[in-house]
Amino acid sequence: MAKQKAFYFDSSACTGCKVCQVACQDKNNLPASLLWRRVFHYGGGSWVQQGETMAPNNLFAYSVSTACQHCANPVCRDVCPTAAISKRADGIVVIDAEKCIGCRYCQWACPYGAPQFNEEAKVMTKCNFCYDLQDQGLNPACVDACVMRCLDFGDLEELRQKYGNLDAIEPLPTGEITEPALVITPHKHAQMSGQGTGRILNLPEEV
Amino acid sequence: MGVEGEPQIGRIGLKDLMEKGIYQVPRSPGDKFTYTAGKAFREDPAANPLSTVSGKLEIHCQALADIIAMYGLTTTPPIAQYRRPVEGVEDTYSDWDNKVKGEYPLQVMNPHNFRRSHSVFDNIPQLRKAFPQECWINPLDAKERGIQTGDTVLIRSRWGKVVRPAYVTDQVMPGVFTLGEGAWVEMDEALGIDKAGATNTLNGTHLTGQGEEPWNTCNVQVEKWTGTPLEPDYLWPQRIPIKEA
Repeated sequence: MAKQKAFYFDSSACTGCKVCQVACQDKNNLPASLLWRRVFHYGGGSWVQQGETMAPNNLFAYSVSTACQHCANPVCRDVCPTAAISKRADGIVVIDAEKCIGCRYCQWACPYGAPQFNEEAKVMTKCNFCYDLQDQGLNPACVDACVMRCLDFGDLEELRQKYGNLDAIEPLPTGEITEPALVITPHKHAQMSGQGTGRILNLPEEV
Repeated sequence: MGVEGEPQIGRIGLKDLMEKGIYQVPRSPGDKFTYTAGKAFREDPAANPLSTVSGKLEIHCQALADIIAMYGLTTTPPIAQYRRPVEGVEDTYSDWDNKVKGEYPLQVMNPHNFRRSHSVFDNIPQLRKAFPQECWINPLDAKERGIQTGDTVLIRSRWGKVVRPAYVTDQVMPGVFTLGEGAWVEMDEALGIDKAGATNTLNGTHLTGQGEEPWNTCNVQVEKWTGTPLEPDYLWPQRIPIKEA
């Protein structure tokens, strides 16, 4: 079975600081509006009257950092009309900018929001797992940047043995759609994808 | 670089430092950079007293309180007590006894925003994209005012006005309102409103005594902004105060 490179994300330690998002923008010289890695805040609950004061009622919030899942079943590749998207032997999914015509089908198809349209170059771009750094034996920029050490990467099967099989929590979609190469340690308040009672808390202009 | 003279030899070239943005001093266990403040006092407080009146660390320092009192300012009592702040919760009420809210019914809290270190690096577009300098309002307070997440809101205090996008969330208690401190002021001179949402715009000039930080208590009223909607500030022209030679 071919090896598959995968991300590991520990939601229980994530503070939502977005260093991962910004480090990726820095390493790839991305403009502010292109987010190859995105951090979502998800939460819910309410406040209720308790005598003369208000009291919290099942309040919760947590953050999820996500880039590209380099899926086993990448729908972006399936829908691309110019075959610009391919999956390497190590599982990393890449977009060939030379072949891309900027039709944005991959953006429509991806349930994670990974492909992002570069307004200036008029092509689709996304997380490439920093394969240029990995080829030198270095870590992806986001993994090194995380101040809480939430991010890790490696062989999918090894990560599963170490951290379990969970590949989705709200607000990510369930894993059976594209089979993401992703392993997650859930936050203590994490809700399972498709069963969430909260909502995405980010402002629309943030993500 | 636009300067004269011989360059000095150092750890890292200036151009390299400006490109990388960081230089990390190499450390090793037991190197000369390890310093423990007050080491002698810690090891033998009797033999090595500090220069305070008691020779010890003073959590309440009478000498300091006397100096502050001499300036005519209030001092912090040595035993914890509640002291009514300026523009605290009491000042959100026009009638405290009957709990009737006044003209500025919300208490502002001004946390340290992830986007900046106080005001440092507030001008970076990627950081502005990540953290839009939004204000946080509880759904109950938002509903009363017809405010939803993403709406531009006008925030008024006794001293100034700002506009910012609102973020409706249960992570802040009803009656409390948060706006991160340290934004770079962007005053719309015609309207007299700061578009950047610097919390200093909302603060008054209160003279205070020991242990009080007057910018930490402030009362505001919030309403939906009916003027031109605010553009996200990561799209504003970048202000770079010091240009390269």
